[in-house]
Amino acid sequence: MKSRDPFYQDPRFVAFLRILVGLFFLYASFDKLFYPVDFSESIRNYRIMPEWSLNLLALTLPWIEFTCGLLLVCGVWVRSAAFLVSLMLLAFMAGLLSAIWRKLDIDCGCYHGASQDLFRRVVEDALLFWMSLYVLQKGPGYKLVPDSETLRKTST
Amino acid sequence: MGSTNKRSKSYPGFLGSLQYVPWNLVFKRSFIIVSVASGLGLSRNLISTESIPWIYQRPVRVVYEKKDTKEITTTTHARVKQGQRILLGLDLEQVLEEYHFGSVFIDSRDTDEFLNGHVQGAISLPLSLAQQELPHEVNGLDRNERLILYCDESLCESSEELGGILMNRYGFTQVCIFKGGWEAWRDSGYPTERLVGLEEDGT
Repeated sequence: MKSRDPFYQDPRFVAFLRILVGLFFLYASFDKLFYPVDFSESIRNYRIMPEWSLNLLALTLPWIEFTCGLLLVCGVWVRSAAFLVSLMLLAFMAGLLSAIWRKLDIDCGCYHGASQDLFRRVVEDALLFWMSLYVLQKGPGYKLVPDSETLRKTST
Repeated sequence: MGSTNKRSKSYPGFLGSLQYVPWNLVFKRSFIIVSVASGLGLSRNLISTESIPWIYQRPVRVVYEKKDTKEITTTTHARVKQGQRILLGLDLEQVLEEYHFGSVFIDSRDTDEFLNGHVQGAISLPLSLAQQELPHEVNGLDRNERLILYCDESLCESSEELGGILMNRYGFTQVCIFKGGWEAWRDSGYPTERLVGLEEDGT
C-alpha cells in the first residue's frame, strides 16, 4: 500500500536525482576551481556582494560546490550536502532574479557552456532546487553499499 | 487497511515532511563540509602560482588626490605588476573644476551609450577601440595634457583600463579617473549633451 503515499518513490529514483544533482555541481564547479579571478569578476558583475568579499567567495564557493557534488554522487552525508546545495541554489536564484530585475546584461558565471539567458538559468536552478529538497527529505535512496541503519531495518 | 488510511491522511506534504530531517546532524555536518571545502580552496590558492589576495582589490587602485599634494599610489593587485600604472582619482567637485579649467574629458563607454548622453565636449574612446588604435583626436593631444576619463558609474572599470593603456602604450602622463562616472555627472545636473543622428539636443 505504499503507492498510496503520494511522496513515496523508489529508492532508485531518489538515488538517480541525487547523482544527477551531484554530477551537475561537480561539472559546474570545475571551471571555477581553477580560475578564481574570472569567477570573482562574475560575482562582481551582479553588484550584490561587498567588494571585499568577492575573492573569498570566489576561492571557497567552487570548492563547496565540488565537495557537495562529490558527496552526493558517492552517497555520503547526503542530507547535509543536499542542504548546502539547496542553500546555494536559493542564493543563485536570488542573484539571477535580481540581475533580471535590474536589467543587467551580464555573464551569469554559472558554469562552462551555460546559457546566457538568465531566465533559463533560473528555471534550471529551480528544477535543481526541487531535486535537492527532495534528496534532503528522502536521504540517499538506493546505495550500492547499504549503511548500518538499513541493514538493521531489513534484519528486523 | 484502517491504519494505512490514517497514515496517508496524516502525511505532512512535500515541505512539511522536512520536519523529519535530522536537522542537528545536518547542520553539524554542513558546518564540517563548509569548513573543509573552504580550507581546501584557500590552501590551494596559497600554493598556486597565480594566487590572488583573499580580500578583493581593484586592478587599479584609484586614490582621491588632495588638491595640494602630489601623492600617487600604485596598485597592489596580484595580477598587475608594481608600478605598471599610476592613475589619479578625482571626485565630482574636482572634476567640475577640471571641466571649467578646460581639461579633456574622455568617455570610455561604448559608442551608443556615448551618443545617448555624455559630458559636454567629451571625446568618445571606447576601451575596445583604444586596444587597437588611438583615434586622431586623442592621438593629436599633447602627452602632458590632463585627461579626465570616465565610464558608467563607480563600479565600472573600463575607464581605469583605458587609463592604463593611455599611460603605458601611448605615453600620456596626466591621466585621471572620474570615479562617479557618467551617472554622477548626469545626476548632478552639470552640462551634458546627446548626439542622436549627429544632432545635439541643446542641453
